[in-house]
Amino acid sequence: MKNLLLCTCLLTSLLTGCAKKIQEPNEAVMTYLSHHLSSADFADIDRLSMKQSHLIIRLHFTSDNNRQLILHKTQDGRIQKGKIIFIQGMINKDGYQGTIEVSNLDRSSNYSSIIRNGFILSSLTTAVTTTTATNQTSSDRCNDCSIPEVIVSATYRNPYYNADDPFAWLNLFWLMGGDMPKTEYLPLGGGGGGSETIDTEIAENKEKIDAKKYMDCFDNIQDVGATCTITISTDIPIDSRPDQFFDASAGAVGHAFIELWKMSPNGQIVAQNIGFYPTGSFKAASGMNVESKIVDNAFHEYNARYTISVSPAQLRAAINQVRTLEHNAYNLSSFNCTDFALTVFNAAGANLTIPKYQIPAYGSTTGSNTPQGLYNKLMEMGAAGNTGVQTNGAKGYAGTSHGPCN
Amino acid sequence: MRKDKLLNIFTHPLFQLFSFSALIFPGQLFDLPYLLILRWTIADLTFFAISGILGLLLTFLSILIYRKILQWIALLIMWLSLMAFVWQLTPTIKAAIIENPISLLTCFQFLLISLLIVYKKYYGRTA
Repeated sequence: MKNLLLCTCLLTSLLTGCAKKIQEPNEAVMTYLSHHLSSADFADIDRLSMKQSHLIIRLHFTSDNNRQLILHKTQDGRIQKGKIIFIQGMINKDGYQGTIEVSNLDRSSNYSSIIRNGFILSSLTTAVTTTTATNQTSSDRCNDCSIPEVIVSATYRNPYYNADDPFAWLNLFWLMGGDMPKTEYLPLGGGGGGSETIDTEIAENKEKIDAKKYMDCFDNIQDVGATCTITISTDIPIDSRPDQFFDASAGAVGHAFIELWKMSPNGQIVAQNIGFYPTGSFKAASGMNVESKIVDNAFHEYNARYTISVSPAQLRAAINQVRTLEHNAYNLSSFNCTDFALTVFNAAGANLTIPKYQIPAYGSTTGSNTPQGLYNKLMEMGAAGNTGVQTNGAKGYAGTSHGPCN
Repeated sequence: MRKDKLLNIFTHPLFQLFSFSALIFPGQLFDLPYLLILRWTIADLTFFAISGILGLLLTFLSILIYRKILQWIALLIMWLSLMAFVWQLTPTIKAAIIENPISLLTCFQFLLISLLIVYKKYYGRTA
């Protein structure tokens, strides 16, 4: 009995003696910041503003609520890196326009830049104001145009945010110098603290959407005073080779899709990106009619796109066309994604025609509408000076979609 | 006797032609038969397309002039074509092959035909 008691005491003392003092998470953050911030900045932290998600921690400064601390947290809770950011701007039809300043926690490596159409342009050595903005476009620095560093979401499928307000989201991969997944974005407005992962699942593998529910969202914005646009986009299988019909490495034939966009006078936006697909069976390759599906094409890659302003009535005509075509059969040579996109686009009054090409092994006497034909037409229009055409240098990505409305 | 008959059917060059052409691979929009992939890429003069078409032609020739050696060479070239094709696929499509039951079935079918042809050469009786 005595021995048992002795062993128990020994064991207890060993355990308590060896156990490290475990810091509370907030305490760990403060400890980290105390080592990396200047004393003035550390004293200025608004500790009550701290919010955490599985990947990031964010805080504001008491003296300047617009300046934020963003910390990258690893899976095991360690803080890996931090930045101080100051971002300001506005959201318009083309995306986020503004400026951003980024520095390390010790205020070194100060970086300032203009944000144009969501892309953070080349860094400038002096403080940036919008009046000194250059005419650089996003294509100047876009060797591999990925998703814009700052994207705008009219709504996002997030339970924390009010879906009626447009928000801007900052790409954390860019901010943290490549240490975070490319798909992680930080909301710049609102009260949330977490980052969000952009859904980059291949659209072709996505489920069919209820096109009616997607189109019904436009009824939430009254036609009176509304600004509307419609965009047709094309994604060719090999970015540098518009003459190539097929990319064997990805089994890709390219894609064409539509964006419908409507904005109320007070800035409320509804945007939907949709595309037309076969249901995936190899029967589609045989040239036969197969069942189709309409899929959400938010963030889908494009190589060229053409946007026109339309009236609410014209947008409605395009919406009605979507509803009509939703149940059309898919046929690779006679009614494919490009046919769908063109039909909807022209329903809005665009009157766009494109060259038809022969799909190899498919004996259509008149040729078929293809993403390549659309691309070549848009490039021709762009070269002729049509300002509605956008090619983004190599490629770009469509914006987000509002999603379904009940 | 019946076993030999079945073996002769499954190792016939026509069967080899069909099973090679009907190999199914997942694509961006829909699954694609290998014959169509070869047709769509031959203009680019890719190695797998050239060897694939050559394999098909030699197999067909082996039927016309009845030379087993031609069937053998064609089979080897077909495998070269397949290996070259799969080698250049993106990781996404490679993973999709494994997850696609039809793809797996057609690949297994062609593998089986190939093994039977080898078996027949070394162990089977001449019909």
